[in-house]
Amino acid sequence: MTINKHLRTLCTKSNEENAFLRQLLRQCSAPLGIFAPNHSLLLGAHSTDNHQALIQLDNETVGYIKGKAQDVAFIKDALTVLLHKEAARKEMGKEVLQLYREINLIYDFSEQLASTIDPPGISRIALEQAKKLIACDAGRVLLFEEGTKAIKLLAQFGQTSRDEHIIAFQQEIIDRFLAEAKADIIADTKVDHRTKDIPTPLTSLLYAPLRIGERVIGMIVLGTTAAHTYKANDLKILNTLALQAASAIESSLLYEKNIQEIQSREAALKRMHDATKKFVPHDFIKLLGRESIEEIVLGDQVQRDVTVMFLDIRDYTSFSESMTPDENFKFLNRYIGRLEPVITGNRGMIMSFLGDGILALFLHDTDDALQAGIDIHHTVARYNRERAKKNRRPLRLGIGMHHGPLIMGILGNDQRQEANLVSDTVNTASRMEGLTKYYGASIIASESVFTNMKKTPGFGYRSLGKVQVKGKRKALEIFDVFESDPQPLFFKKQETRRGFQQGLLHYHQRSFDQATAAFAKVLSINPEDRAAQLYLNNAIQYLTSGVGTDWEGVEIMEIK
Amino acid sequence: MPAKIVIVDDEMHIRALIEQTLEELEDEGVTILTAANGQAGLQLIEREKPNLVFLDVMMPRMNGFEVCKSVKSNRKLDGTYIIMLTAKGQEFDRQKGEEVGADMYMTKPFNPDALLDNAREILGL
Repeated sequence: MTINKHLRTLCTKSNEENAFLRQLLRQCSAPLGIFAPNHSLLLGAHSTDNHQALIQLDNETVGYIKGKAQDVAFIKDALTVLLHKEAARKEMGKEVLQLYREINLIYDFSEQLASTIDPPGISRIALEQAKKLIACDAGRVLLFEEGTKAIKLLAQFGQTSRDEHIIAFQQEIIDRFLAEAKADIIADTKVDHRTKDIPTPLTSLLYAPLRIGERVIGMIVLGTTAAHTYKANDLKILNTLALQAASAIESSLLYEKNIQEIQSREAALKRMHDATKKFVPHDFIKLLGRESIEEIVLGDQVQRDVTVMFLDIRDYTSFSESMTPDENFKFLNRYIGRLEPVITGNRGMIMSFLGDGILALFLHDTDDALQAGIDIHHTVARYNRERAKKNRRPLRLGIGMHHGPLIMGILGNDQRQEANLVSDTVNTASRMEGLTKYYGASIIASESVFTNMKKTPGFGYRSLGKVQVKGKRKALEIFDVFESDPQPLFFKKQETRRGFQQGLLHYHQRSFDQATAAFAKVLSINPEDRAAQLYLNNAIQYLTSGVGTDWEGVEIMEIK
Repeated sequence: MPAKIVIVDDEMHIRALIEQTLEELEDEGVTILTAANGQAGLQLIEREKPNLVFLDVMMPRMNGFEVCKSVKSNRKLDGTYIIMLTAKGQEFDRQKGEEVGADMYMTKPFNPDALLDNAREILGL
């Protein structure tokens, strides 16, 4: 038999009570002993007196006192009081420890929750903690889906083989639950009206709502197969865990929902961006100092020197005659699809599609625009070889470009806004394109394009002299970039380049006879040189008619 | 010789808690003694020569550091393992703890299971 713990503590432990007891024993008139039921002496001394008294605690004999009669009665009373005090102290200690353990676990639970953001994870932790505090063999955390009220199992342990019964049971309590939102104990599943018809190995159940204010988002259920039933304290603990778990699950669901919303909003924005990018180049938006199309406001504008390129399909009207509108549309899309990467690849951006024409801007170097022009012609040449195999007529393009100031901005009103270019530079570039046909050139660039180049031109080109285009007072020198002309033409232009430039020099010096000879020589090598032909015609005419004193050798262009 | 544990803390409920936590060790013959302030704690330690001391840091009349320093500099008390108890949130002065020779520190609220495990390990039980 073990010695009563409280008695042992009082008799042996060096504390205030023990000191007090010892003092009492010293005051006894004769030696007195406190004995355990097994007759071992716990405190005091063996006595010659045989008077005995049993020491009882909660109707249990925990020991006896042996000594003189009056001493025994006195010590017995004092010892009994001390024993009860010790027992109460221990009892309280136990309770405090249990509470402390709960607080600690809940504290622990909060800390774990803080680092867990998914509802199943939170639910698993809640069950783990519940297991530590409440004796149970099975547990579930259920979530009621908003709206549908469908049940989602977030976490579980134990008793999985009878899921269907447990779920059925759950459905039944859930109905009550949603009405009452109350934690409860089912002390005996065999008897309780809620569960008696459901075969389950669980003898007792405990459940608590996952509650956010008045709203129930789910529940936590625990069950045991043991013979004991749950008590109010178990319910209190489960409720505490459920409250914490509920708010954690709720925040995590909100968090997930927020993330999803943000993602879908971002996806929608991206789709919008992608869509607008096709109409308003992103570079253009950036140029206006904005990040996205939504930020653009009416009146946003920026002025910069840029190179404007105009690109047109020559004789498109007759070219497209053979096609249906649908075929036409498809053709243009294919054509644009081929050219777009060439333009962007040379740091250009397409500002607008004008039927068969393209208006592109080059914000960096004019070299980019020239290279893009050459590349475009090479691309079209390849395209034409494919077309030739299908017996389709070749596509012929004219490209004009000009470098100058440009105001880019948003024009319109509140309802409709459009990216716009406001500048003479655009008109001039368009005129340059118009001249390609006149001079039989594939690319015509104005002098400003050449003078603003970063590198020295590494391609075939020649000056075509000065022109004054329609609507412009100032004459511009223009250049024929023939690098991408069809090979025979390229070689012939290359061969006659010197002669041609000399012809122009004579022409401007009003030496029309020498100019005539020079251009005639160019034409003898390259009969298709339309520029040489034009200058030859002019020179012959001026030879006979002469020119006025204000003649500057500028070709006045009436064409657009 | 049966092991002895001394708990020194000015808060009665902490003393009771630690005592209760370690209760099962008493059944294995371990004696658990308590003191309510640093001075009484030091006297108890010097008299009982315990194997393990749970020592609160913040106490009136000699704080935990002073008690620890005194115990660790007393050659008769060699082999006294000292666990300092410090309130959570109140940053434990590790350097100070090291200076006075504390063997371990635990934060309050402590985990009862961890506290018991530590005690068992230190006492070799």
